[in-house]
Amino acid sequence: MTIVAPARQFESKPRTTAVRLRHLTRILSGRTILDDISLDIAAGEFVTLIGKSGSGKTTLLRAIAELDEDVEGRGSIEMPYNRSVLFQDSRLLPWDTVLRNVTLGLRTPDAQRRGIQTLADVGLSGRENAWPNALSGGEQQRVALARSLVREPALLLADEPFGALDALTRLRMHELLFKLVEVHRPTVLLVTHDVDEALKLADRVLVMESGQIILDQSVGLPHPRRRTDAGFAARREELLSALGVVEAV
Amino acid sequence: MPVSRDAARAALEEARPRAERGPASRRLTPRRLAPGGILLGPVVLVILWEAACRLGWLSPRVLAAPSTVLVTGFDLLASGALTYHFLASAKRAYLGLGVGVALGVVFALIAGLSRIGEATIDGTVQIKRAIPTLALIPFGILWLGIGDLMKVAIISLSVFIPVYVNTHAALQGIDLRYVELARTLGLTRLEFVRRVAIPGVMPGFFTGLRLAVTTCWTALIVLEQINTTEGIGYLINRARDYGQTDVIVVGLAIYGALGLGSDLIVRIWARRVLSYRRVLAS
Repeated sequence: MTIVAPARQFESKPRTTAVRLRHLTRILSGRTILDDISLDIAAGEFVTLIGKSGSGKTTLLRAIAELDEDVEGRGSIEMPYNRSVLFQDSRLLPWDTVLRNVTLGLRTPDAQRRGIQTLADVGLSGRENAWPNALSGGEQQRVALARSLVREPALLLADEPFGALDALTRLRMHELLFKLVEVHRPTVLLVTHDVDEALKLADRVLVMESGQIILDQSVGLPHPRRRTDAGFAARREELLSALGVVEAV
Repeated sequence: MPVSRDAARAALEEARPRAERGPASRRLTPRRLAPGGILLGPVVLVILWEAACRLGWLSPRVLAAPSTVLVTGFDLLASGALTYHFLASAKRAYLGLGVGVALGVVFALIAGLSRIGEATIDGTVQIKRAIPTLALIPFGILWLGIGDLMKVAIISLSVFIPVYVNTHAALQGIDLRYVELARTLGLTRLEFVRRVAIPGVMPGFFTGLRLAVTTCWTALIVLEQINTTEGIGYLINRARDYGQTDVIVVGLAIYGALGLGSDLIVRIWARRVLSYRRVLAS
């Protein structure tokens, strides 16, 4: 097996810290959702966060996205100002065309050109003037991806972005996201409940339970990764046991 | 958006044969009417009416025959009287409608987008809502006289309510997910209003506008009973004094046509603005 030198190894570039969390605690109606989390994410690192539902992974992401102003909590967050969020639903404005959705809030003079270019990058050339509702679920999520990437974010926060897609579309989206992250090189924090997705994409996988990070695994496998690779299976096993899942063989 | 429109049409055509299939005997709902089929009832009614007049069952003092109404309408039009009175009525109605709609939208936006606005405006409007605007005519006359100013003011006020209530409700119902999105994209308040809030309230606004158009004509008809020297209401009142039932029917027909026409315009406008939704419906 030829090992393709992974382009994204952190050793090859200066490891500045993009996200720094210290003693992050969030309490929702008396229940501690995030319990004193401290975490560093290096610039350009692709981190996936997995955990059972209710483990606090979405709360963590929303805290970093500053979408939790009404939530009680403590701790400090340092992160890049230029960040964008990819939601589970594509969250496109139905009354704006695809292109206007992509360039929403983009104030540079070449916004139009960049929007068209980014739409081409996600394979939606020629759909600039379509209404979002005329697109399939996968296409809508690709528009949302274009909207996130067109502003060249230093940090991309993704909350189960492929959770609502069918299995085949999801695989295509993995490839697309990976390819685009190679080009744009943002720091990525992606929340998922899919262990394969986490392992396929990430430099590092975090497992959450009861508001704490219980496993911090560096993947360090070459791309493209296949489920059948030996290293993949071993890491998968480790993650599943951390999640408390025993697979029947 | 030619692309999406074509796509919508294609999807519609694809769906049609499926909807029309199935044996007639097992239909639970009646089959769709042929185009224009809805006109059967009105046409029969007009024929019966004409027949009743011709046979002498209906005296012209009670109700003029449709043919007489048509001739009178044409005469009035030819003499220029109809156009003159029509324009006078339309001016009042549309001036009142314009002012009322503008105020309704502005107040709904202020109440929906700011706390101080909500606190000061919404409660006041809800109290005003409990009092029918036409009951304010006595005050209107005391304060503004019996001229056109009072009429336009009362029409504005009655139009204001449905526009405000529906626009405000739509604004409060804006999906919080879009608010979140706007925050993550760093939209300014103005950008949020222009790109998210206003397009988001358009369906509610159009509901309000359609009600407003109806309200506007109702208010006009009532107001034109008060000291008018021009307008469709004046035409009808004078005809009543002379027992000209044909002129009364012409006036009513004008009111009806204006109401229908205005509603049609609003519907066409709404279809254009909300065209993105047609994709969803297909």
